[in-house]
Amino acid sequence: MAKLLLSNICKVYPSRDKQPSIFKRLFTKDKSKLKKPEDFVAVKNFNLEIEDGEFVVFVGPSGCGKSTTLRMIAGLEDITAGELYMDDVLLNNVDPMNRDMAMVFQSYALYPHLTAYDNIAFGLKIRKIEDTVTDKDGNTKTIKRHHTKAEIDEKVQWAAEILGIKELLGRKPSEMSGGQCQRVALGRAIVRGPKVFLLDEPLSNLDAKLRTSMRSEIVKLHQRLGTTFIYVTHDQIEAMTMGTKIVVMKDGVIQQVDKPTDLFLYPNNIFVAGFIGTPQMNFFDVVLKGDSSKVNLTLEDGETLALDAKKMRKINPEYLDNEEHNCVLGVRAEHLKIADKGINAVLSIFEILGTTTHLFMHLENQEKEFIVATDESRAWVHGDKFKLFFDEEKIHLFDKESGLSILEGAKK
Amino acid sequence: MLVSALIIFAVFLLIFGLVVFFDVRKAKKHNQKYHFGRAVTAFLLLLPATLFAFFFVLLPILYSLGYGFTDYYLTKPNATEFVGFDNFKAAFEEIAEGGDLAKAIKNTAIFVVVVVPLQIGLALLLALFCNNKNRGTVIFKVCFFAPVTVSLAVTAYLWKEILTGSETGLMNQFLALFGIPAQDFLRNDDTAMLWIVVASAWQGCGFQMLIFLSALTGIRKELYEAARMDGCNAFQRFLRVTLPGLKPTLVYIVITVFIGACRIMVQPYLMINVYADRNITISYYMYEQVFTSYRVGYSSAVAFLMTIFIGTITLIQRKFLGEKKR
Ligand SMILES: Nc1ncnc2c1ncn2[C@@H]1O[C@H](COP(=O)(O)OP(=O)(O)O)[C@@H](O)[C@H]1O
Ligand SMILES: [Mg+2]
Repeated sequence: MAKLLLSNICKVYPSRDKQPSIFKRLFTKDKSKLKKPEDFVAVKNFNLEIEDGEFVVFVGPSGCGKSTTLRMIAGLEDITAGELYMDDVLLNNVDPMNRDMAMVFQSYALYPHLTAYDNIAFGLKIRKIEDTVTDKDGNTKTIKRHHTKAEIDEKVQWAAEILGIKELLGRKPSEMSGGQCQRVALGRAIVRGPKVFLLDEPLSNLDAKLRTSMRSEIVKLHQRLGTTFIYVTHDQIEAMTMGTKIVVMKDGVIQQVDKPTDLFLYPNNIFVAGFIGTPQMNFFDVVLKGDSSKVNLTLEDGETLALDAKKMRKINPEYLDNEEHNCVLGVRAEHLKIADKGINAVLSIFEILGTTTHLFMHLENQEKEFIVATDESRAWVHGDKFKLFFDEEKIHLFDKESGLSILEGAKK
Repeated sequence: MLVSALIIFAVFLLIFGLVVFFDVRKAKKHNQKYHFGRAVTAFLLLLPATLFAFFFVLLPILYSLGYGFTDYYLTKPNATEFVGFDNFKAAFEEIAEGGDLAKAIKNTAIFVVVVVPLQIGLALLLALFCNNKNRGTVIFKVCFFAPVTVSLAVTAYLWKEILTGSETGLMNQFLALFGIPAQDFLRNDDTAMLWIVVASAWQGCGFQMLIFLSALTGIRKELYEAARMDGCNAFQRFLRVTLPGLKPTLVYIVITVFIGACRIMVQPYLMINVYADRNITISYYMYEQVFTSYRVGYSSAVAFLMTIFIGTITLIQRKFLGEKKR
């Protein structure tokens, strides 16, 4: 059992810039001109509860603090502020070796001088286990001892069996492919039976095909072991396909924590809406004006979408006061339909991807492009004009200033 | 000289011709085209370095070996005659009788056995100490490396002054603080070699430290992190990540330091200044044989024996320390 609680966790890296030299400090009259190196806040007020056995994915663009958070959980990085608990035990100052977690690195980090077998067995050889023995007087006592060779062999073979790397056990890392190395690295992690698995972009160094197959293998591994997994990736597809709980991050701040479907259907803000889903959600600047029954959205080219508020997700009543509000309309490519009437759009380019075709369009007299996904196959011609229907049930609305969704979220 | 140059050039041509010949055969066997133009380019590129090596390395070695079979006497070069294995016999007799050569071998052996682990251990410790990104460490690196840049003669003289027997010597003044009477470190048969070891380890270790440092930066950070997650404490990480990572470097360093140590001569010669039982080493002995006794032939024979000995040990070291090839 391992429940993790991250409470207000922050990470501040001291600046790598140099302090102004002592001479500069002495001889500059205007002290305000001396630039003090500024500390860098990599993770800010991170709050998260992770239940036992969950598959949590941290996802976000590169540099948003995912690895830093994971490494703080592992103990490889100090926690600047906040608390980390595992089963109500404060972990902040516990050494990584005593946290009972295992980590898989993006670069595999296999010991290059050891064979796959020894790499997997490494942690078992290092750690001692508790064992109860009965001495000849019949007293039982608990001792700490190393694993025996047979015990180690049994566990290594078990891990190798699960990961399908039995025939690779005699090889050194330099004699294996990336995918094989990553399997060995997974083996090294599972063999110890840790309470939590931490995986930092474990598939990023693999080619696309292998990535897809390893993805499902890791999910299977999770189902089989039932242990808590914390998985870091910058790839939203990986996140959506693997996670049971997804944590979207940006600039060190959590944007949204949700199930994959809810993240897709009910994004909290523009960032999440744009980050999750391919092709990226289309955004239009609109002016919203309406009441509880009828909502008008005026697009930049002056056209107006008249929507039935009853059909839409519930809008925050503050915006339904018949005043004008600057908003952002978000709609996914597959929820824009070519129809007989609606908003006028011009086709600029198209990409045929088998059954689906992506049409890159723009509003008349506007330059900003958006994408329409359609299953129709016809002879598309550059410059053709269309009318577009916006699916009321599927549209998203955000406040332009704060970027937050003004629609009601998922029912929980 | 001209004759030997021509002979060498002929030998070089012959070797090169053989290489080309076998390459052509191999290419034919694999149905590949052989590019003679490339062979000519390779030949021209190899020529300068090869000639240099022949004239300044191989030729002296061959000459020296040749002298080993003559009674070449420094002041009478024209009376030189071929004497067969007499010089080698003389050398072995000298060793058997416990003469100067035997003492030299014993001193050199003691020096090598102590200085190799000491110098390498010291270099490794210093490298570990300097291997962090704190800005202050650059000062230490400079300090530790500085002796390498100073001439051997200068440092030998420096140590001689530090260890001088009078009460004004630096070391004796220091010992006086603890009430220890003045010692004559370098005239004492028991301690002279020890201080020679200290002086040369101190002088040399900065260079190996630098090599270790660059090897340390080559060990990936994640390996240490993986080891921490696997439950290793600092010492276990050193043992299981650092040392294996340094192994190829270590092999190189052991071999080079060993060879350098076998040739020790400057410190015993300059720090003690007399040819005595406590400080003769093999190189020092050979030097004396040539420039005091003028026995070039005999000295060449000893040099040849020493070369064979060092070569053998080096091969053994490589076999035991080197990577096992699969
Ligand atoms: N040791 C460090 N010192 C200073 N800044 C760091 C350090 N490690 C990471 N950072 C910064 O912290 C931010 C978050 O990094 P990281 O957690 O690695 O991002 P990612 O989400 O891509 O894994 C980045 O902007 C990075 O530059
Ligand atoms: Mg990262």
